[in-house]
Amino acid sequence: MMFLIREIAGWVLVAAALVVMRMGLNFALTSGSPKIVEASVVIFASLGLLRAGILLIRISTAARICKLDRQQDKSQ
Amino acid sequence: MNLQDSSFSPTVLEPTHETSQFSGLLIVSVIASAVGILFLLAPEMGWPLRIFVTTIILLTLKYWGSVMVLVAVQADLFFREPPRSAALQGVTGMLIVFLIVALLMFINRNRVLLKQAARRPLTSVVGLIVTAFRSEITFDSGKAMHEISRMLGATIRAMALLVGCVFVSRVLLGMLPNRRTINNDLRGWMLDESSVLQCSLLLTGMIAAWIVCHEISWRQLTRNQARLYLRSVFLTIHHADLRMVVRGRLKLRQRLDREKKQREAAAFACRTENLPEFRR
Repeated sequence: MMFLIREIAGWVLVAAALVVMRMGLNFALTSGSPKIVEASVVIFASLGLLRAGILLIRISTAARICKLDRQQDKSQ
Repeated sequence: MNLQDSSFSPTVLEPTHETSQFSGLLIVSVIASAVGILFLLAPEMGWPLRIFVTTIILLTLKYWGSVMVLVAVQADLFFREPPRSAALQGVTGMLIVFLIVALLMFINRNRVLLKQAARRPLTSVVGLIVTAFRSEITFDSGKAMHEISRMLGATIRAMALLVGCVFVSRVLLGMLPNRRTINNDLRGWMLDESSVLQCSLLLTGMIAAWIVCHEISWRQLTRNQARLYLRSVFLTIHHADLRMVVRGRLKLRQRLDREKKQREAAAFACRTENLPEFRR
């Protein structure tokens, strides 16, 4: 159950990172007055979110694989 | 096995007569084609400067491969724009593009040979080329047909790849805006707010798709790989100094293994170089 919660949290973080990244791109690509500094700050934050989310997803996947194999070994 | 301890003399490591002849011919063809292409470029440049640049590029050819040739071609295209670029349009331009891409492919496919030549002194390379021109080319009749068919197949594959690359790049470049319309196209594109927003949406979607594909492939881990990853993450987060020590030891072990394999391969080549054909 903990792995599932971690994986869901990871995907939520990834989705949030993508939303924030799109916000940053909109800042930079505004034709009237492009806000480059604001965009770079927002995109930097989104990259941190993305990295944390992917780390959570990967750890939960790897831990689940280890646990599944251990359970199979015990049952054999 | 150490080569110095082996009972084979150092001359055994030298290539055989046929191989050295073929290497010499290949080196000659690489150098000749590179010189030909380089002299086709920059027709307005003076001869002394052209000879100097060509010599510099040929000297770096052994070490850097086709990188400097590509830089020379790019520089020629840059300085040719826009008044003299008319000479590169139409059939002549296509032919020149074919020649340049073929030369780059040819050099890159003979990188190993050029690196081997770079390890030798320049006099021995010149001697190899002179030998290739003076002596007659001899082939084993049994292997000749097999070698010829193999070379023919490789040539046809290379030609197909070359034609495909040139035509696909021509189609793609034809779709891009040219010099006359690029300013108007870019201005119109930037003024249209919806296209910019669509572009940001497209970029975000591409990143999302990339993450999903990556995570799907990540789920194919074996148990050992998963355990290794978990240990690695644990070390990264909690014991960065310990991780650095372990990585250093792993790199050292990989280097020792690689050197051992190279020594074994060289020793095996020593043993089989002078054996008769039926015993190889």
